[in-house]
Amino acid sequence: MNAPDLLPDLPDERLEAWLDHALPPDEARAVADRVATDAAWGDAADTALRLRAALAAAPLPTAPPDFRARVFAALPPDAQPTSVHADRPPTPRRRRRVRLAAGAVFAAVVLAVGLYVTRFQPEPRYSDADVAAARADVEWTLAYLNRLNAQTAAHVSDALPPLPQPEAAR
Amino acid sequence: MPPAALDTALRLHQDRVYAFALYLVGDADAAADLAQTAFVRLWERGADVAEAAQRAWLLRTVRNAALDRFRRQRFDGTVADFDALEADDPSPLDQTETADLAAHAFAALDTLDEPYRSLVLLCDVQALAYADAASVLELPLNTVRVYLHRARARLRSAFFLRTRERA
Repeated sequence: MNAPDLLPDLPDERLEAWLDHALPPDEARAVADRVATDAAWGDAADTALRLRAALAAAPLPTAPPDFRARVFAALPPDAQPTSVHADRPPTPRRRRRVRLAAGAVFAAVVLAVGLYVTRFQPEPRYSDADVAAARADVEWTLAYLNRLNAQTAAHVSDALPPLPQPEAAR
Repeated sequence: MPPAALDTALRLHQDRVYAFALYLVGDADAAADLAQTAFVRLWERGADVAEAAQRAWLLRTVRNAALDRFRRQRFDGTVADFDALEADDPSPLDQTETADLAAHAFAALDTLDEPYRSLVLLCDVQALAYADAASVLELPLNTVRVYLHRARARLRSAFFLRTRERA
């Protein structure tokens, strides 16, 4: 496995250093001039780049499918894993579910506080149109919460106080 | 080291460690043995090896194990049976000319001594940063740079000789 000595007429490792931008400026200029004017150096630079590209494109083989099992089989019985995914980090889907559930709970709390505050305020005089608009808002919010419930399986309704009954039902 | 931590290390590093072993010894079974040895030693060392240092530690261990193997058995194989190495996805290597070039490159790589061969494998095939290669080989960073330039120059000469012979 002995490497042949560098051929005397071929550029030496300064060329590789130049391709790596690792030469001092004056030396780099000298090598660049040589590459531009000397065919042997030009060819060598071209070969060096092609070699690097070929090596970089080489297939990276993957470990055999049973490799993990092999490794654990070589360990004592008390070193066997209980579950492969016991320590798995949260997946994006799990994180999204948690965020949605947190959002639903937050919305429920805001709604409950809002209802509580409005219930103990002196009753303002509202027009029928105002009441209809407010009712539409509440219905939209409830529909939105229901949808969140369906998506996240969070029980938002548990966090809600009893909803105020419409005036006509009292 | 808890089994879960070893499992994580396997998921992160097993392909790279196995590939390095395969390129070093050129035999799939031997490469799997060497890679397995490295991971078992990692488990034995446990917390001594920081998580951030695991990759370099594993590559260093697999290389040392491969060198031990060379010494013991006077291993005379090639760097790798290039035809046996399969990529996961189609690559430019499918093209005859490029495959030829790569085959010559790996054959030329086989002529390099250590640590030059490992350096080219780590930096040019596995695309490790020079600092990481320095950590694997336990060499100063500047030495890695100098050795790598020398390794590439020797590789280029060997490649030139091979292609000239064939021509």
